[in-house]
Amino acid sequence: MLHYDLVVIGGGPAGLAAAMEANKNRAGDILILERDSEMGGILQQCIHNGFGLHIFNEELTGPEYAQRFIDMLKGTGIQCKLDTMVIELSQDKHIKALNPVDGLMEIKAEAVILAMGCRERTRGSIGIPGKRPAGVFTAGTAQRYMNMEGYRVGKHVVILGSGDIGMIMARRLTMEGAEVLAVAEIMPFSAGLSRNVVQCLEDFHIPLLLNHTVTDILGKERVEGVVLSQVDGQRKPIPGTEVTYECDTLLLSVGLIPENELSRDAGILLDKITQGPVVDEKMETSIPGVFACGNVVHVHDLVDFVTEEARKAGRNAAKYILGQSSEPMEFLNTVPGKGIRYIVPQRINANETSVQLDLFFRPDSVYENVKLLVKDQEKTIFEVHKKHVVPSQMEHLTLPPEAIKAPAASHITVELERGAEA
Amino acid sequence: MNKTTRLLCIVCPMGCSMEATVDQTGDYVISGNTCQRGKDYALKEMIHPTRVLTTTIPIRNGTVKRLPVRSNQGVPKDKMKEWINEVKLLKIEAPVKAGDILARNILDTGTDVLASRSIGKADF
Repeated sequence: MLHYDLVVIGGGPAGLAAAMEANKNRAGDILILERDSEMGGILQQCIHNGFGLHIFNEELTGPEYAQRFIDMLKGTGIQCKLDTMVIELSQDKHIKALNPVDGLMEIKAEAVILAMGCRERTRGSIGIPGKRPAGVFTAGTAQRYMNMEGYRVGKHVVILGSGDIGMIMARRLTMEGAEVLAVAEIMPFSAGLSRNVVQCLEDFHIPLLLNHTVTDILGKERVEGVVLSQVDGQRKPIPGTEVTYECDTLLLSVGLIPENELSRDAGILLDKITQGPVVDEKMETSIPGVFACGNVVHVHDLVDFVTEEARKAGRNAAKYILGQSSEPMEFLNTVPGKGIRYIVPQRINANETSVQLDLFFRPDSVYENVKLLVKDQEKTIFEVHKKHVVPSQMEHLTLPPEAIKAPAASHITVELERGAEA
Repeated sequence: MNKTTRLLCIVCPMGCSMEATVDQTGDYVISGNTCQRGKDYALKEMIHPTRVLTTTIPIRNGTVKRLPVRSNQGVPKDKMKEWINEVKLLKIEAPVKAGDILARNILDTGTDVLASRSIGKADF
């Protein structure tokens, strides 16, 4: 049985920043368990730039951002085990993990930080009909094959989903000599950042077909074509609008899901909407001493926010280990109201309301000129004007200290009061 | 009649909708931006549009197969494909450190290509 003060599950941007911050705050012996053969997580395959504007004030590529943290690890005494799969986390913080060098390990931790990231939604989950020829990939898988293994995944490509991964792959494939015929998006607006619509699609004259989806995949051994149909207001395909695109590859960029098998099996309370653990303002889950950060909690758009969130988890894990955190007495829940899809943290320690509180959330649609209201029953305790909010961009609001003084109920609500819905 | 071009800003997540119009002196007038960086981008986009480029190239004797690389600054938009193809001809050997300049002044654009990450030498 191995003993560590802190075990961090995942060595991507969340795990790295959390471990470093915990170390800075004297957490003690720290072990990072990473399933891949190197640290850096998903950043290693995100070879494009746009990372680090907030944290480093520079525009870095994914691998450059990862390298900054990997280089900082040296000399910290933080231990890392690679090629290591965690197979179990118990309620009392016992971890079972395996790798080819150590075999099966049992590890006892004082505190744990979950940083497992997320996985992609697949064809099966969205029920695209058709045969199963080779050439259908989730966008992230194609990205890994191309950027890390060096494979060209296809020559004539259709992409379903205008999320950032889909658009970034559209550009990547085009730069590698493939022909990207179209990006189809089921919603009436792009699922990703508008800057990506410009620099990934418009720059290369790749059509963005809003209100479209894939209704059939053709081909026996290999994809030979894909049928795109228009959809109606209920996102249902409209018969008679089918258009066949001849291609050999279909990429799916249809959503990311926080990876919480371990959390679920440990009995950690999960949020149905985010599909990640319910956390408080310390990033602590429903198990005292188990914290979570990064995409495993909710899918982020900017790695800079992951780093900030992970540092919060690391700081608080260190406090927990040093016996400096107070027992949670009661919680104040944060409830998503009108126009809000979810809020993280889902709850706040009632005895922590004298400090500044950061709330992160996403709207459920595109809104222009809205007032963001934080309410305690009928009373508005905080409001801010937002010019433009979209689901693909996580929003942040900071509640000043003492904003929630003696709340009337056991929850506060965040909601939008519209000006004009786009 | 003044020619007007519509632009979507890529500088920050706000993605402001802007317009660039040519005035009597032949200069560009930008409207719709909400900050100076946006205005600068719009002007640059009209006069001399560039993009930072990234790709991967093979690396020999490294702990991994592919080396991600980047341009150190914007490359003229009309030279994007050529720049990538030129960079793909580079023969690189491990070890490499993030930030290493692999080649300078690609195709006379004044841009260099840098390694995006460090890759150690594999001990076969």
